Amino acid sequence: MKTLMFTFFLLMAFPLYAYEEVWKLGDHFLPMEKNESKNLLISKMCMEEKCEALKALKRVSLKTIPSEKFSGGKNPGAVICTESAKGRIIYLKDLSGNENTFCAFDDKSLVATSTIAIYARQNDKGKK
Amino acid sequence: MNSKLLLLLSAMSFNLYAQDCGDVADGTVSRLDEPGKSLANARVQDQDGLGTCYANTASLMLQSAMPDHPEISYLHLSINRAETLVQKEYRSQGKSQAFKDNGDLLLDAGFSCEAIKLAKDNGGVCERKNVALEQMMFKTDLNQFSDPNWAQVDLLKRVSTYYDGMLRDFSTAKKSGQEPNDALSRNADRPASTKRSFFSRLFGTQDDQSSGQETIKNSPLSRDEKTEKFEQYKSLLGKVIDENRDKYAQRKCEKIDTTNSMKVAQNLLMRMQNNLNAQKYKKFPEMKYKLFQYKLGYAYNSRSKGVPIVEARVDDKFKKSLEDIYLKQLTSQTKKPESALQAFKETLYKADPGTPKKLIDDLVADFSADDKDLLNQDFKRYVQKDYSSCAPTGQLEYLASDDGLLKDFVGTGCSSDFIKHVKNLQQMIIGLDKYNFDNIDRLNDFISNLPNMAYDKAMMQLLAPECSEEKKIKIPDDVSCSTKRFAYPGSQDDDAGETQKHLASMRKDFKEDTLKSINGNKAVGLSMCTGFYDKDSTDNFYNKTRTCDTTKKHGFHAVTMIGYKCDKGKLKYLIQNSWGSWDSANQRFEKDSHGKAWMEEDDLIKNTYQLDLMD
Repeated sequence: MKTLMFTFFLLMAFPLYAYEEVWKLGDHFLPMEKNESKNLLISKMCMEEKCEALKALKRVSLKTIPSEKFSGGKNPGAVICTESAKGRIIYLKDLSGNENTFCAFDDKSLVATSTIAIYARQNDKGKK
Repeated sequence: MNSKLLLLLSAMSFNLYAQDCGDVADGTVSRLDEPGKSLANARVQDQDGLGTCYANTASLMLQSAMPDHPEISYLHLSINRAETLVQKEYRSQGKSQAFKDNGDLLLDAGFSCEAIKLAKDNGGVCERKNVALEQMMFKTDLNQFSDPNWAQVDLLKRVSTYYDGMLRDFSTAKKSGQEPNDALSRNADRPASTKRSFFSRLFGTQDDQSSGQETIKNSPLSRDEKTEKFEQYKSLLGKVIDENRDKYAQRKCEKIDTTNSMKVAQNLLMRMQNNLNAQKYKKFPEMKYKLFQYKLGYAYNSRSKGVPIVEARVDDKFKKSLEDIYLKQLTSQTKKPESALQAFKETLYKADPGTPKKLIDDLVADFSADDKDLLNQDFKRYVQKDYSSCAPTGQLEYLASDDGLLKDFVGTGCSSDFIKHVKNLQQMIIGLDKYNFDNIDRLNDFISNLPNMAYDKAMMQLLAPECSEEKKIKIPDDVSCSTKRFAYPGSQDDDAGETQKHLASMRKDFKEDTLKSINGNKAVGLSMCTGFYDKDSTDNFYNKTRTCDTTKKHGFHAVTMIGYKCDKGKLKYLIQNSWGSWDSANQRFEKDSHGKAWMEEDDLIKNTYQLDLMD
């Protein structure tokens, strides 16, 4: 039920400020849904069907990750992706050549590591 | 009267602002990434699972000191530094070549000035374009979705496996004295992962076992025997590669095709679509762009290997224009175009004469560095008949394919242990990515010298095959880096008196040092604890509490200061991070563009423990 409500909340938020933005993986174009006001960058498919990326946003947390995993100034979103979301890191570029990491899941959905970091902190705050 | 009062209040508030910002006038904005400044062309980086923040920062600092070189490789800076760890710390402790005990790579964690100094002492630093490792992540395919590892770490593991195998079985450095800080001693003493040595199996000897952990002892072979075995392996491998590489290259490069220009056309299509979706076009009516887009093609949603993708379908008519106009210009025997970019632009002009040329010029001006690189490759290949960027692709395909090198190598009838090394080599090459690691001569050099090569030399030879000593960017004598450490006085309970006095002094030093540097067009490295990045972490100031990671959410990190501004009386600094689009992950700070944010002076002073300044 909570997952449904969470998904509903995200879906409701999207139409207001969201638009499709294409990112590149090698020579492939991957469609993303971007919502600047919500700081969200997630696979377009998550707007149309259940996806692992969306489920991961619900459960990600920093609390169980050992501190040494963050050593060396690693991108926290990338660490959370592998350690908490159990996803894999994938590098994409926008069409101007700027690079960004995304968290990839078995169902081929993606979410930006920066988005993951935000939700992990929000989730932990809610669990206090 | 009212207006006089207002004027007085305005004047007072202005003075107040000015005082808070020191000598910086309210409204002043100075940033190194704006046109004409030292970091105008510097890109935001993403360090992935590597702990290379210090090197990311060092690369930006160096770029600001040498603006003619906007693409300095942070991975070279870190690999270069890692060799010192092998020599000073890890070699004697018998640890593996590429990883620390906790699983971190040897190149994780360090300091920016140290990395810059080492690069300066070691003949300079590589350009990013010459470091395949830094490029390979962006040119891979949809198979990445099933790759369970960090992109860079995975590749380093593959290279390490081959490197370790070579050292274990063939290294003669210690006895030959070819390398004073020899590789063999570290190899002989260190715990092996799970493998027994090649020669112990080849000659039926047993490695010593100790408490469940295998220890590799020196091979029973003499130096001469090792050398002989390695020479056999090397010459056989070289012979097989040499006999086949030319025909591969020839076949590939002589064929004229629109592969690169089609990619550029697809990028252009999608860029237009993105901007239309984001409603970013203002100079021209959107409909104009939309109509022009139809001349080029269209996009539609699809799936490839189960991954939802958008296919950019270039219109057949435009594709024909690429053949008839673009390629014809490039292959013309009489009139050579000045560049492939110009030829591409001409093709766009002719695709729809009704479209204003200014619109097309604007679109072309937005081409990414990758797009321009693709067109430059065409120019080299068709106009200059230079196959250097084309031929290696086919050669590498041969090396990575089971039907290529491996099949031919097995066909020589050599021993199975040689084949094991070739399989390791094949895995390494697959990891290197066939579209980036493309210098077969350097691969031969690598194979020829590997057993006695130092860690950094081996890694760079393979992971940055294009970065020769001659191509390295030399760091001039007058470019140097110095470190200033902050020692925040007092403790958590000592907030008044002396502490405040020291804090005021630190604030003054911090402001003077950083503003002087930014005004001099140089970026500043900041070593800090990132505890304060969290919105709720206002009390978690490192310099006050001396604890950085009590919540396990943060750690020590290096970032780069690239600007400052006085905003309504508050001095703020522009910080460029190396976490990709980190800007959206931090609600505490004022957002700037991709990967950058404005931080207040107070936050920085209380959490920064070290400043790295370019002199």
